[in-house]
Amino acid sequence: MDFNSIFSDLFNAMTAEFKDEAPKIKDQLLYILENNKSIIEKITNKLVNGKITPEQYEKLLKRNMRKIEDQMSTVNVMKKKAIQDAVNAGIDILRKAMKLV
Amino acid sequence: MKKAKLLLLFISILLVSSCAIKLVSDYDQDTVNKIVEISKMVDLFYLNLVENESLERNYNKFAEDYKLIEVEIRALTLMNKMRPQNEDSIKNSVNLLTNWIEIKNEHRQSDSYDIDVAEIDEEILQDQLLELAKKEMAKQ
Repeated sequence: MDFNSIFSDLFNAMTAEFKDEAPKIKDQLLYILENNKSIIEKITNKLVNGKITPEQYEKLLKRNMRKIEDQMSTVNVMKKKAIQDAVNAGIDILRKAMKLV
Repeated sequence: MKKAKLLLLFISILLVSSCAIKLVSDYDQDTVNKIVEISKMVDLFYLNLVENESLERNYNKFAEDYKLIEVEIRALTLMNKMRPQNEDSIKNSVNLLTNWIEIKNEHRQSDSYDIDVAEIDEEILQDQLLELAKKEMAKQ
């Protein structure tokens, strides 16, 4: 089984889902998918070795996709916090400058 | 030109009102404690599950634990909902709850829980809890 081909398909499917946002989040999407390689390989190997049924395989992948969504939104929180801190630092500087005038 | 004027107006309003912008909620230690508590409960649940032989992994034996953990995840979701600018954490806890209820329903319907499925389920649930904790830490 060619996992690289599976990941390439998965990446394309996910970027298609995000449409206009895809170029902006490409790097974080790749990073998160890299982090998920081992668990997806584990799930797929269990299917190939007959330890789980195709139905169980689909359910596990679906649950893991929810986790990937959670990993994406963590990056979102980090970005928002960085913007918040930067803007507030800027406001502080302007406020101090106004007091000096 | 119009955009620059609007930006200047926005900055002036912020300066005059002396308010800072807020895109994410403040860090909350109680939420972190709750996440750690749920993580321990999930860990214990799967340790108990693995200890049992396949035939003894019937739903009734674990029904009470399912309820206890579900209540805690619902409480965590409520804690997240109570805080403004907290949409990402709310969605994360709802996804965790969705996975937990799905696992519970599958166990109830089949009255069994394959160890190969359980092993992956635990990894996914613990990863989701880790993401919730990471989100909280990012707010510091």
